Amino acid sequence: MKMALKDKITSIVILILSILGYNTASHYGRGAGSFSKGIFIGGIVLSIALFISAQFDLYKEQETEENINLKRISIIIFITIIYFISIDYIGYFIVTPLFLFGLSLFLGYKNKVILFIYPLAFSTFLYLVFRLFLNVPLPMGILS
Amino acid sequence: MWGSLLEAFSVIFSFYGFFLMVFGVAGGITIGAMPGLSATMGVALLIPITFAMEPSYGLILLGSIYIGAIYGGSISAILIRVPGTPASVATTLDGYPMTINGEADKALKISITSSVTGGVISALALLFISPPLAKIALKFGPSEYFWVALFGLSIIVTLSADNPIKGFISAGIGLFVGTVGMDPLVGTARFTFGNMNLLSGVQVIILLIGLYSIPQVLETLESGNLNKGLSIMKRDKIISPKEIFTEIKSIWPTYIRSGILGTLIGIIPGAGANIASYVGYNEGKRWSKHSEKYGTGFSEGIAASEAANNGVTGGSLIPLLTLGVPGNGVTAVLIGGLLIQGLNPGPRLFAQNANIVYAFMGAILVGNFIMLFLGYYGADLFVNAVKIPTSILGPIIIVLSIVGSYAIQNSLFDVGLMLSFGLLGYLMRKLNIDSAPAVLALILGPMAESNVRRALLMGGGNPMVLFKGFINWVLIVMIAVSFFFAFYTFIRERKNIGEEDLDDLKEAN
Repeated sequence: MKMALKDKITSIVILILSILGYNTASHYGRGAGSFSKGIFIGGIVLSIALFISAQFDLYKEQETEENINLKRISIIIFITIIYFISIDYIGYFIVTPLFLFGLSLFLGYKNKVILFIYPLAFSTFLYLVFRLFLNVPLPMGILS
Repeated sequence: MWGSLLEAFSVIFSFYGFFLMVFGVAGGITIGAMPGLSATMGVALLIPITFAMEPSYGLILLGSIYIGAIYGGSISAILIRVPGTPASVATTLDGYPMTINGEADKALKISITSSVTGGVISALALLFISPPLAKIALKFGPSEYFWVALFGLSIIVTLSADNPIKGFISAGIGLFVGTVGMDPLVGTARFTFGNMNLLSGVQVIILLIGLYSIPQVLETLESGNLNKGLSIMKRDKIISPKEIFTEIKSIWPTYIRSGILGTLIGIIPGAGANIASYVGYNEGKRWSKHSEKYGTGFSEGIAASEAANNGVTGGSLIPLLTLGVPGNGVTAVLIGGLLIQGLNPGPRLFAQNANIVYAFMGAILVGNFIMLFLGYYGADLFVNAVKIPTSILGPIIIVLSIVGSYAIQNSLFDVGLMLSFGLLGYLMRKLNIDSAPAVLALILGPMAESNVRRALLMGGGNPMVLFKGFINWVLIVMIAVSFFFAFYTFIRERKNIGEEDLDDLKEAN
């Protein structure tokens, strides 16, 4: 997708969000909404400016060809979200090594020895640093 | 000052303090040496670790990582022609040719000695300039602080010279996030949407980790072969200390000039180590007796770049500690490190927590000497970090980001917020929207808002209260100059692009 089209879509999104934000800020009394309203007015102006600059190519941004593997990125984000959701229920010590192992395997790392050792080693190291050295509790989940 | 400094040295040279400096510098060098990681990301990821430490020790660790990471980028720049950090791009111009010519060892030793020289010059500037500047800043009232915040925000225009509209959009995002939570003066809940977790606002460090580490990891993982670490050329000739000393003797003016230049550039909010290294390199070339050798594998070229980029480290801390205005991306992150300790950056830090501030500044100075030892004898070791495949490094950084965000308030909400900012940051990168203005605006926006409202309250609602006093007018003039230079640069660059297009057209005809 060309940058000009991306910019036009972005400008429309910012315009809608700025209008909604301005409306929300208008309900804050005693001066609490003034600064926010100023920000959203700026947002409206900037969204129009962005649309115009995209339409007339004012900044001559260089188009870079990106070779993004969309499937890979989507799966990485999905696995990360699963890790985040499950860390509290299942616990840091189970989920973290599984996440490291699973994601590295998905990304194509093949050395089986390292693949089994490093998730356990790193998770243990991090636990020692946070729990013992810094006295910061980590979620234990089903192990608690 | 001397009393506070002596007290600070007792902290720095305690076993724990010294260990943290060595660990911090070594960790910083490793992070800096790895392309794909940055000093900003390294400091942001490790701030949660400092949360449980005493403030002095936490800041000692963060400062040590900062100076190590800025130097570390030169190691991969020299050995594999890939700068570890943007600040070392200019170092590749002479560093890698020296490696090809079999002079990698000499290049690395010139790099570490010049980096330390720049770092020491800037650390001394920090120690001697900050206290008197802080005394002046203590006289600032709400209206002065409002203009200081606005000056910092005006730097956004300079930062986003390529596309100011996108720069201001980024700043707008930061300003908005800064308004989330309880209004500082009247206590109204703003943009919390009924969520109790947002009442105290968004923690700066959550935004920082989200915007700086997650997008970087996603960009590194989004394409290409992730299982090849980079290979490193073997070093041929090992240079003796005597030979290095002789080499330094012939180019020492470049060491000093670049160190001073870097320090001065670091003081200017918005100008970072990458600008300093280019300016240092260009000025080194201009003043050199052998300017024709620059770019062919000339040790003076490395010295000019590296002394300047490490000169930024101390310089950038001067506006941070005295005015609370970050000098660059890393110092913006360091504000998070101060806030997490309950310390507010600014002149009152010197008055109320002098021992902590002096320990931090002392660590910046002493850390450079530790870096000299580690870099001189251990550069080979640190560069092995580039062999770690991205398929292992990426997941590790994600785990560090998540666990670090959780550790701040033991809150999974913070982790979710961090990941959301991470995705936002990734989207911003794809749209060519820089996240640095958002970070600056998040820190300076609340400062501007609360101070302008206080000033107006004190002045009975009369806006003229903002224009009374000599200091206010000095700051207003500085803002005007900042906008003028940004506008001038913009017009000049449009003119250059126009001339280039004209040349292309002539050639085509």
